[in-house]
Amino acid sequence: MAKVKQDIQEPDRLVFDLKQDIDYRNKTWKGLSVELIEEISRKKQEPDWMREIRLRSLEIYKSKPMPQWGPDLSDLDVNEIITYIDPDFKKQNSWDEVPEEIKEIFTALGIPKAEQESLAGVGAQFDSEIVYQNMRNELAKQGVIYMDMETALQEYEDIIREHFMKLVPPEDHKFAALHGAVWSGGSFVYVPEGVQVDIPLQSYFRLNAPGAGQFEHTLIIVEKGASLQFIEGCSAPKYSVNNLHAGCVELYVREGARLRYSTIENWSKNMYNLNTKRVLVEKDGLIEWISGSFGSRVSMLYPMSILKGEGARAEFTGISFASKNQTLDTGAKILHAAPGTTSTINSRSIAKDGGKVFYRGLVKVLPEAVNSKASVSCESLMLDSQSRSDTVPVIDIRNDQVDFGHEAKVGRISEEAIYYLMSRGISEEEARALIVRGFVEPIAKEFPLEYAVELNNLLKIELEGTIG
Amino acid sequence: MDILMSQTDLSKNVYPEKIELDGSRIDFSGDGLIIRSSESRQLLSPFLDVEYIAGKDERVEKIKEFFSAHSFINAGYHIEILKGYKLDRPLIINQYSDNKRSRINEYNSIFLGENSAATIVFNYNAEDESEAINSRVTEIRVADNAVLNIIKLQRGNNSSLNLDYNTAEVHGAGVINWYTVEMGSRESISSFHTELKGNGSSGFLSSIYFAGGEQDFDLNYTMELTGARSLGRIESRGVMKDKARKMFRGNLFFNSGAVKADGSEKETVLLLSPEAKTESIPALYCGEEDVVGEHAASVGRISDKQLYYLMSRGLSLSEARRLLVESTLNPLIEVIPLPEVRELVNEEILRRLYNE
Repeated sequence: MAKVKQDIQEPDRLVFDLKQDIDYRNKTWKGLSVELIEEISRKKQEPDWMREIRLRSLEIYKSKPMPQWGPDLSDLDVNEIITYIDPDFKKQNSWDEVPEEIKEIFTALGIPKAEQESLAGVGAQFDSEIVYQNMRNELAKQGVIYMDMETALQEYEDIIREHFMKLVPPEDHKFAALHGAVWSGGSFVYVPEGVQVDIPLQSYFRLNAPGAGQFEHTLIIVEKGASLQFIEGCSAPKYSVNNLHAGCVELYVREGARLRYSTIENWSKNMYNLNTKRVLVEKDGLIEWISGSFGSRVSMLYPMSILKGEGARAEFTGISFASKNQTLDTGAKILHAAPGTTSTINSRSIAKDGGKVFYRGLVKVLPEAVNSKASVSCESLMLDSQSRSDTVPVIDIRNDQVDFGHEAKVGRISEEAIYYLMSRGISEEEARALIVRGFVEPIAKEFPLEYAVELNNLLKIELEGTIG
Repeated sequence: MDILMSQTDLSKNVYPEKIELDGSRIDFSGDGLIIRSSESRQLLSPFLDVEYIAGKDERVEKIKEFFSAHSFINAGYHIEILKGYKLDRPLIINQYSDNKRSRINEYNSIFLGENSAATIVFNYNAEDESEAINSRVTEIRVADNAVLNIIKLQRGNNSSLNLDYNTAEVHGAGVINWYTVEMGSRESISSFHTELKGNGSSGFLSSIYFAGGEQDFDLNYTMELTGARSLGRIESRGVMKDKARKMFRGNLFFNSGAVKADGSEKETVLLLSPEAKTESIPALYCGEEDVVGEHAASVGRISDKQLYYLMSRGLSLSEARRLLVESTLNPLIEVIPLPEVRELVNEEILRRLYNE
């Protein structure tokens, strides 16, 4: 059988590439300086301790070297990135009051529609500031808090102070320090003890300005026995200059609580996505990470779960799809720090048109984490030989009462499988598409419904060159 | 030149059961076989895979240090099997450290010509408990249709450091089979780098280890699949007890052009003590679409259920443990091509299991 190479096109980014000419009220200067930090802090009317965190972070940022491993970041010049901008609008909690230009973009992205149909609350961040935030009344009555970080810092200063950059200290790495210095926007969610939030909350991050950075901070606390689903979506239009996203996500899952954190990242392909996410899970708590990485030029993203309490669990489900000029260096880190903890990592990646996918993971089991179980499964599919797919899982086990299993596979679409499907009357093109869909299916089904549909559409577009 | 050989007189071209060298100087050239003592000379290749090893640390620096020290080579052989020549008996090289030879800098080069075959055993041991630093480099080239079995048995004493670097190139439809058994030394850092250059070339690496006490092993296995239809396998099975530590780095590279190549790596670890530490990085690097690649790793313990089952069949606790250790290592011991080596490995494992 002749081997037919697939002709796979760039996905349709029409909606994401909508750009708006926005008047920027405070499009502050490029690069970093003490004056800039002071200015951001003053404008946000922050307490002194927060300004101190910012200034300390700036010092740490200056002293830390660039990461000496992973993808090439030599093209990223932080001094050329606009670290803080905000459009000339105040945050609204009624959709009608959001300025037309911004509304257009979010409407095209389907945000308000999704809010009406399937979400319990929505926040939308445009560049550095949250422009819209709303949550259903019944949740507010139960004591659920969902607001932008700036407002939270004014209204719940004690909680923020106790948790802010405690899980991800600025000392962690250079971009965590950068985040600590210039963070702006993001969401704060607090779910009180025993409250079940059944419908997801969603924050959508949009980076509109060219050459800008987005540094939103997400802090979620799910109290004892409570549960929450949170969805994070990201996009930006493509410009010729590099953009940077260095957000930070800190999650606290208390005893017996559950949190499902889903991310759909579809940044444009000039974006450096250097995001840090971490969760602390207490006794019998559960964190579920659902992660889809499709966009960006370079991604370095390894959500970390610290299983601190006995019986805590972590599940990571991720998919990466890298095409031309993309390097998606993603994975998961799990630290088993208590007895009877369980973790599962399930990662799938696809590389095509010279795209590079890299799975980099760590599972560490400390001596005290007896009777723990961990399993890691990574599979990757190469659609051509210009692409690359690498897998480096680190496994570090320090006691003998552990069950650990790891497996990984890399390969192409098998000719036998295609031949079999064709013998059942399916065309070769359809057979290939079917196999790719089958490959992502175990992951796709974990996504929130509307994103599963989006994922399928994306794949359909990606594979369209061969279909029909 | 003084030629010293134990049990063997190669100059007569009469081969006994085994060809055994005790590390002494030799310069022999006979029908199809050349053996010469290594001399200080420039190494052939610049130690490619040091750059590939994920998570560089000071241990790797130690290997590098040795590289710069290669100018005073005091052990090792150049072995050449000429085209079409099949060595039908194993060539055994015994290398002992003792209080007089505590700094061994060994360099071996092994060339197999087309259609040749050989089985070579490196038996590293210690005569006494004196501290030794053993640095070893072995470079191998296997030509089309040649088959090399190479067995490395490492049983240095518990105060020694073992640095063992191996690199092989396999051309045409050549085959290399590595059997490495690591049981000795306080600290052992070994690296086996195989590049399967030829279309249809094959490489198998079987690694057995038993680490106890405060032993520290750093095991690096790299298989590069470059040739079309090349076949690479890495399989490691080990048992760890007491406060032993071990790092396993398995690197499988599918280079561009390795169409229809097939590679896999598999690691199995059995932990016998809560203080043993095991780290593994079974990495897969793929730059070619048309390949099949797999890796798997598992770390397990002896479960109470297994022990209970075996003991309910009349086995004592210690017999049950032994059975489980043997079942972990046996799949790789069985494939060692020499019965006397298999026996030796089995005995040594039991001795170490019971700390005799």
